[in-house]
Amino acid sequence: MVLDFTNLYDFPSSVERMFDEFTNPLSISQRRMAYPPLNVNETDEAIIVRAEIPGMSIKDIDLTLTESSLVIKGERKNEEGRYFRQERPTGFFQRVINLNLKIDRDNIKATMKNGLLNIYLPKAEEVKPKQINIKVEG
Amino acid sequence: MNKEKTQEKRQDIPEVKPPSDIIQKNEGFYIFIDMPGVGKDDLNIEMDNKTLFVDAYSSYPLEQTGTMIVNEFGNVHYSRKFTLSDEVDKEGITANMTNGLLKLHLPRAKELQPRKIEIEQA
Repeated sequence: MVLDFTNLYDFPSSVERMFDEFTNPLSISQRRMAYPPLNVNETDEAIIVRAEIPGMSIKDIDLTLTESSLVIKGERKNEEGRYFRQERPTGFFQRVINLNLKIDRDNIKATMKNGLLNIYLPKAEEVKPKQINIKVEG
Repeated sequence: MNKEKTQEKRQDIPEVKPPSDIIQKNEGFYIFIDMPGVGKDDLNIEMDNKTLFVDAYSSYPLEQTGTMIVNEFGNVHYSRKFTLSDEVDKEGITANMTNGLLKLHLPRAKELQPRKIEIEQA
């Protein structure tokens, strides 16, 4: 039997993370050992999500953008034959990225290269940081 | 000098054993290796008498702007070796790299392929 004490040991940081989730523009619900591994980057213009999903074409990956989250879904299929060794993960996978900001839905781009899924989510105009020019009148 | 720099940089890249499947089929063996971030040109496959070496560096574009919010993977050095049995036709090994998945086909040696024996009636 395997007991997972990591949550207990990790208690202060998990509380901290809970508070972080309120303040962060985006967060991820499941973290440890989740498949596929993600990299999320935020710039002034957009949020860029990258995922390592080798051996799959973009057609087999289901991307759904709901009101407040992006869902990456798919299935890694088993190959026919007699397995001597099986280390590559198979089966259904899903990851949810919570987005606490508005996305320009019409300009989302998703590409796949060498097993790396690249999703570009441009921020909506109203949440982009803007510079305001102040005119000084004498 | 530039080359030196990249060599130096590669020292910090962690080395990992990529997850792999070994499958036997009628026509021979297949080795599937997950190596996301590796293109066809980044891959190096070598073979000596009994061992097959697979070696590659993943090449993700490094982020210059913005802040990293979640970071669960990065550039790695994939390295793995496989011991081949005598059943494998070493001359006939083929490799195919698509979508970050390396598929190696190791055909069965000719003399070991299942063969039907004709029975003559006297």
